[in-house]
Amino acid sequence: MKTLYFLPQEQALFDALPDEVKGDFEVKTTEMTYEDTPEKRVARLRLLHFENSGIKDMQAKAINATSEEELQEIATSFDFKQLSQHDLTEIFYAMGPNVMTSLITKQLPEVKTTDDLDGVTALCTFRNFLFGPQ
Amino acid sequence: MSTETMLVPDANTEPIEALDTAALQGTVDSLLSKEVKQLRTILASETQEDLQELAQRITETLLEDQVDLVERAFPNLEDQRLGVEEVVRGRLAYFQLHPEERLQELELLATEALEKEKRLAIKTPEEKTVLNKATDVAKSYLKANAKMLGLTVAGVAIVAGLIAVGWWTGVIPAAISWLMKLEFVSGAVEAIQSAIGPAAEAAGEAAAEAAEVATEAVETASETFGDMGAGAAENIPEITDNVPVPPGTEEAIGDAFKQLGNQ
Repeated sequence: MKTLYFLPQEQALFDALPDEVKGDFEVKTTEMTYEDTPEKRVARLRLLHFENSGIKDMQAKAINATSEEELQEIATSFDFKQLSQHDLTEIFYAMGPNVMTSLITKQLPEVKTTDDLDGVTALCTFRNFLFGPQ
Repeated sequence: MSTETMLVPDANTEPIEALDTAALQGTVDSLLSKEVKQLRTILASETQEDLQELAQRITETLLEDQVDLVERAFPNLEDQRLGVEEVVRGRLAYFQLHPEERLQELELLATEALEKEKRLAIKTPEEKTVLNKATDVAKSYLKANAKMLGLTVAGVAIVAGLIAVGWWTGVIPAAISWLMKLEFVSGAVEAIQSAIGPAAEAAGEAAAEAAEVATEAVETASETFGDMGAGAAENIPEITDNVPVPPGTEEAIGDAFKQLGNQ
C-alpha cells in the first residue's frame, strides 16, 4: 500500500479518480507547517544550491539567454533524469509549499493510470517531508 | 533591480559573450557558502550594535564578491563589467545609508538558512528509503510531463540562477515574461514572479536614493558606453514592463541614459 499525504481540500480530487487507479493507495491527511511569504521565496531562491553540474550548466546558459524563446529551449532540453535527490529536494524547497500544492492540485485531476498517481504521490511525499509536520 | 538592468548597455539586443562557466560556478558556490557562514554569525550576535556592524561588514564583503564575480564572468566584456561594477557600488552606497534594511534582509536570510537546514535533514533510515524512491519516481514523472511540470522545475532553477548571478544583465524581465506564459501552473508562475517583485522593488529604491552615486557612475561609464547609452534608453520601457519600481525611478534612469547617449 502506497501512502498519499494530502491536504484536506485535495481529498475530493482523489475521491473522484477511478477505483482501479486508486486501489493501491492509502490517503493520510497532513498540514503545512511552513508559512510562505514573498520575502521567504526570495530567500529560498537565493539559498538554492545545486551539486549537479548539468543543472548548473543550464543556469549558466540561461544567464546568457537574450530572449524568452531561448530560455524555453534551455529549459525543455534539460534531462531531468540526471537530477540527484539533493538537487531535486533543493528545487522543491525553493518552490515552497504553495507552488507545490498548485502543481499537485493541477496534476491530480489529470491522473489516468497508476503510474500517474505514483508521480503525484512522489510530489506529495516531498511536500510533506519539506513543509509538513517536523 | 531596475538600475542594475538599465546600466547594462542594451542587454536585450547586444550579444553577451559566453560566460567562463567554470569560473562562474566556482565563484557562485564560494559566494553562497560564504554568505551562509556569515549569516550564521549574525544569529549569534548579542547586541544591536554588533549586528549593525556585522551587517555593514558583510554587505561590503558580499558586494565586493559580486564585483569579483562579474569580473570573472565577463572577462572580455569591459563595457558590461564597468556598468555592473558601478551599479554594485551604487547599491553599497545605498546600504551604507540604510544599514537597517540590509540587516533585515540578512536576518531573514539567516533564519531561512537555518530553517532549510532543519527541514532538509533526513531523520531516519525509513525516511531516507521513502525519499530515495520518491526521487526516482519524481524524475520519471517530470520527464513524462516535461511540458507541464518539467518547465516549472527548470524555470525555478533558472530564475534562482539569474537571481544569484545574473539579475542585472537584463535577462530577468525576459525570464519573468517567459514564466508568465507558462499558463499551465499560473499559481506557480505568480509565486515566482512575486518572489522577484520585492527584490526588484528594493533595488529600485536603492536606485532612487543612490541617484548621486548613479550620476557619477554614468559619467564614468560614458567614456566606454558611448552611443550605446542612447539605445539602452530607448529600451527602458520594454525592459521595465514587468518590473515594479518606485515612482520616478524610471524617469531618473531614463534621463541618465539620455544624458549618456548625448555625450
